[in-house]
Amino acid sequence: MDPHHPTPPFLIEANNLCKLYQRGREQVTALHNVNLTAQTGDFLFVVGPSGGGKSTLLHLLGGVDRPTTGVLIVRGMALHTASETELTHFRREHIGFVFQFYNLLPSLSAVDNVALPLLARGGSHQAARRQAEETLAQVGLARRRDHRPGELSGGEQQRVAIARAIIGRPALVLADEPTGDLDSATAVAIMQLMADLNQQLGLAFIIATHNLQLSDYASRIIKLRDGRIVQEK
Amino acid sequence: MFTLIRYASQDLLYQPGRTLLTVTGLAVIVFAYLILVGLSGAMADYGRHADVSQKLIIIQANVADLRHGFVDDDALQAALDLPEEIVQHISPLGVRTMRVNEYVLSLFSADVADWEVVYELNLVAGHWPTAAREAAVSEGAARAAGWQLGDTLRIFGADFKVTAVIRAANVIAYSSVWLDRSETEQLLGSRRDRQIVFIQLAPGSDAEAVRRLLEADERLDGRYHVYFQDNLGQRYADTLRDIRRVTRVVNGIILLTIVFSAYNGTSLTLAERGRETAILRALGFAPAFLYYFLLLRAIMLSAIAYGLGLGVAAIFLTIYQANAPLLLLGLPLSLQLTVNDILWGAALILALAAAGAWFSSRRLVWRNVADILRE
Repeated sequence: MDPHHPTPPFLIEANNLCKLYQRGREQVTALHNVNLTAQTGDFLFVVGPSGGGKSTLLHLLGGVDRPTTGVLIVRGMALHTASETELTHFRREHIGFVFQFYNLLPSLSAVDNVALPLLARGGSHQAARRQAEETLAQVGLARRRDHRPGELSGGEQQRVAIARAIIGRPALVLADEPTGDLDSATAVAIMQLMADLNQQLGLAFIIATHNLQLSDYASRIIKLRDGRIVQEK
Repeated sequence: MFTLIRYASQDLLYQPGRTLLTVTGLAVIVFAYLILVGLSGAMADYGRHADVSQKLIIIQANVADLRHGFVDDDALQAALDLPEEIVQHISPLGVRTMRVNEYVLSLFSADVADWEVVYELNLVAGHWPTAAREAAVSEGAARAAGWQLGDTLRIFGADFKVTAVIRAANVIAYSSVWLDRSETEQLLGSRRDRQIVFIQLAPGSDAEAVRRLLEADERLDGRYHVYFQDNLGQRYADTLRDIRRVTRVVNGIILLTIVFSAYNGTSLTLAERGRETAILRALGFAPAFLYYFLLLRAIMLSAIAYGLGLGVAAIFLTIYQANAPLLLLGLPLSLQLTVNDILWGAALILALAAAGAWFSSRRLVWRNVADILRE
């Protein structure tokens, strides 16, 4: 361990996180005094009904949004006070995202989609592409690397999205309803893939889902309702 | 930079039909801009060919179109009375607009002997008229009407044979038919067929002094102006100044259209791909990267459109100049694009396209990522 840059005790430390939105004239509380910690290698599920605050929590943890009040430290960085530039750098280096609707760029092939995070870090196109090919092989899509998203099934697209999320070996992968748009068999396969990657690579995964049938995979489960943590196990 | 170019190219090729439509729309604007630049340049050159000479002309004052004027016998006599040592030739010229076959063009009449020495006509083909019912046609008229030597021209009910194709060094006669003065007198009678009197001064004469002397002659009595011949071309050129100003205004509007086209194109791209923009931001791409991507995309579209518009404009101008040159008051307007025009046009259009993209993208690429993901 580098004595000058000691590894922080927790990957995530959130204290009294609140997030308020203005919706027209109405103020909506998306998160209310959320306290949370997570460690490297966790496979944490955030469950609860729609509108319960799952996506908002993931957005805050991923540095795409800032809490209204509270303290949020991820990988030693105080996200609640970080500038936009610092947040961009933080996401680039430490976060991988998986979305419900895959959110791949339709004009790019699978391998080019996967290579994007490395290019965002300023890597060469050739090196990024080479690593993207290896990562696609890791998720079982080596043969589909040159296909565009429109030519892939839902499950294949989500595998590409997972490959994109892990290619930069981030500290934390945030998956927002990653199986929400898939049939049950494919959903199980995708969840198994993420669990395997969690084991193999030691990356922390935080997965927001309302599919409780998949909760067997979780090492921890947090239940959110109306922006509050109502259960943790 | 390579990554940006690569992604911008892939993005443009992803929807080729749409890209083609955008490029075509911009190319039409570029085409219109370049043609107007060519026209504006032609107007700037218009009338510059009039040579500085030792020639004076007498024309009627207060006549908007000199074809409607008439130089009377007294005024002609004032010219004939000039001292012999300062005058080489005095030549009355008839100028009319006539229907010749199915074409309406200028008909000039002067003594054939004066055609070369006073009017600087050069024989391109055939021979000068020597017999009755013979005529010369200018290169411009021959090209426009397809006339050749030996063809018959029907003028005021009489047939004339084309014996000469001439080139008029003086561009006033670019598109014209020439007859000997005796022919028009027979044909039209003595009906005021003297619109200009040309005075060819001897070398070394003080043309300005002669001009003042004539204007002071009581026989002209303020009813006539005496100009240097160059002033005639200048008079035509002056009429174009206002038109040129109009083309500059239109060019300005066209350039603004390019800004708005780029603005609209980029806004549309951002509106359709707001989510993609947010994804790229979430993956860690800096807003500046996306901003440069959109800027480069707009510049690439405009560059392709400029190349296309320039190519079409060049082909159009070449064909147009070769087959149906533009004439204004009988003078040719030589539309052409200079290297300077092309480089300035490219720089302006690319810069304005970038400005349009900048206006539309600067707000959108800085939007909160979570807000876009929630939409």
